[in-house]
Amino acid sequence: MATGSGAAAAAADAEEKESGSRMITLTSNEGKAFVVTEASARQSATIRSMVDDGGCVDKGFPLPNVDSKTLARVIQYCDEHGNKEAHTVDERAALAKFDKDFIAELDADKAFLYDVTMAANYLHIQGLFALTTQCIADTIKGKTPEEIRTAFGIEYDLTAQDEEEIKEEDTHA
Amino acid sequence: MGIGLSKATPTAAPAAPPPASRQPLWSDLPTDLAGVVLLRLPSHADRVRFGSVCRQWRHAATTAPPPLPPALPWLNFHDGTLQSFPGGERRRFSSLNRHTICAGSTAAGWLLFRRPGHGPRRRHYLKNPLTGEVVRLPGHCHCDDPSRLRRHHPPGSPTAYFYIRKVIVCGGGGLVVARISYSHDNADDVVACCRPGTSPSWSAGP
Repeated sequence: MATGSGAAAAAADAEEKESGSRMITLTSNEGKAFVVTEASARQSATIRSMVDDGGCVDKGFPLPNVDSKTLARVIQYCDEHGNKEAHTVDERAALAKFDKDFIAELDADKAFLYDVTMAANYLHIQGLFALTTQCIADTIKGKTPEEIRTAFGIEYDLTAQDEEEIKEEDTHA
Repeated sequence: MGIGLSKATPTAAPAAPPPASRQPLWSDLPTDLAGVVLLRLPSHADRVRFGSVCRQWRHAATTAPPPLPPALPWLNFHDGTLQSFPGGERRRFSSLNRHTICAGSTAAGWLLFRRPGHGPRRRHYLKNPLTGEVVRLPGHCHCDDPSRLRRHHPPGSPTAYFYIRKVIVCGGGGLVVARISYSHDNADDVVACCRPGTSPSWSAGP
C-alpha cells in the first residue's frame, strides 16, 4: 500500500518487500520461467530463506528438480495462498474450498500427486505438503496392501522371505 | 543452503523428463516422505498394511525416521469416552456406562471391556475402537488348581467367576493371553490363554 509521498528509496524498497509486491522468477528444469509475486514465492520456505538471506531475487531461482507442469500447479497453490487474504470467515472458506478442489484433482492423477508432493517437500511449502501427504494417507487408510498397490500403480515385488517376516510381525504386533 | 537450489547450474541444458523411464514412481517413495505419511496413519492396521505394499515401502516402514509413536495407548475417561493418540480424537461408546470398565489396551489397538450383569458369556470382550470390531471372550475358565476357586465349586468343571486384569492380543494367530484372578479382591493372579471363537473357555496356569 502506498501510504507516504516521496518516500526514500530504501523505505519504498522495504515497503515493497513488506507487501510482497516484488516479482520473482522461478525457472523449471525445462528452462521455462514463471514470474510470480514475492508473496506467492514466500509460500516456499526454501525460497523465502534465500530471499531473506539477501538477494538473488533479480537473477531468479532455477529449480532443477521441478518440471514445468508441476511448477505451474505448485504456483497455482502459492498464488492462492500467498496473494489472497484469509482474514474473514468467507475468505478462509474460499481458501478451504480451493484446497479441496486442488487436492481432488491431484487425487485423481496419482502420478501428478507424486510430482507435486516431491516439489512441495523440496520447496518446503508447508501447507501444500500437508495437503498432499494427507491425501496419500487418506488413500491408504482402510485399504488392503493389494488395493494400495492398485491405487498407486505399484508392482508387487516382495520376496517370499519378506512375506514370511510380515506374517511374523503381524503375529507379534 | 544445502537445499539443492545452488547445486545446479542455472544454465544447464534443460533436463528433459523422460516419461517412460520414470515409471516406477510410488514404489520409489523416499523414506523420509514415507515417514511423514506414516505419521498420518494412526491406526496400527494401516501401518502394517503400508509395510506390506512393496519392498521400498516395507523398508521405509521399518526404518522410517522419526520413530513412530505407538498407535496406542487410549485414555479412558470413565465417562464413556476414550481418547486415542496421536490422533487425539475423543470417541464415545454408547454401550459404555460407568459400570463398564476399560480394563486395558494392547499394542494392536484392542481395548478390553468388562460389563457386569450380562451373564458370564458376554461379560468380557475386546473392542477395536478404530474399526468397531468386537471379539467376545470365553465366559468360563478351566483352572488346574481347585484350591484357588470358590468353595463348593465342582472339581474339574470350568468356573465363570473370574476377572481379567490385563490382556495381550497376539495378532494374526488369534491367541489372547490374560492375567486373571478368581475374585474381585484377590491379588493372586494367574495367567490364562484362549483363542476367541475357537476355545470354549480359558485355560489357566497354576
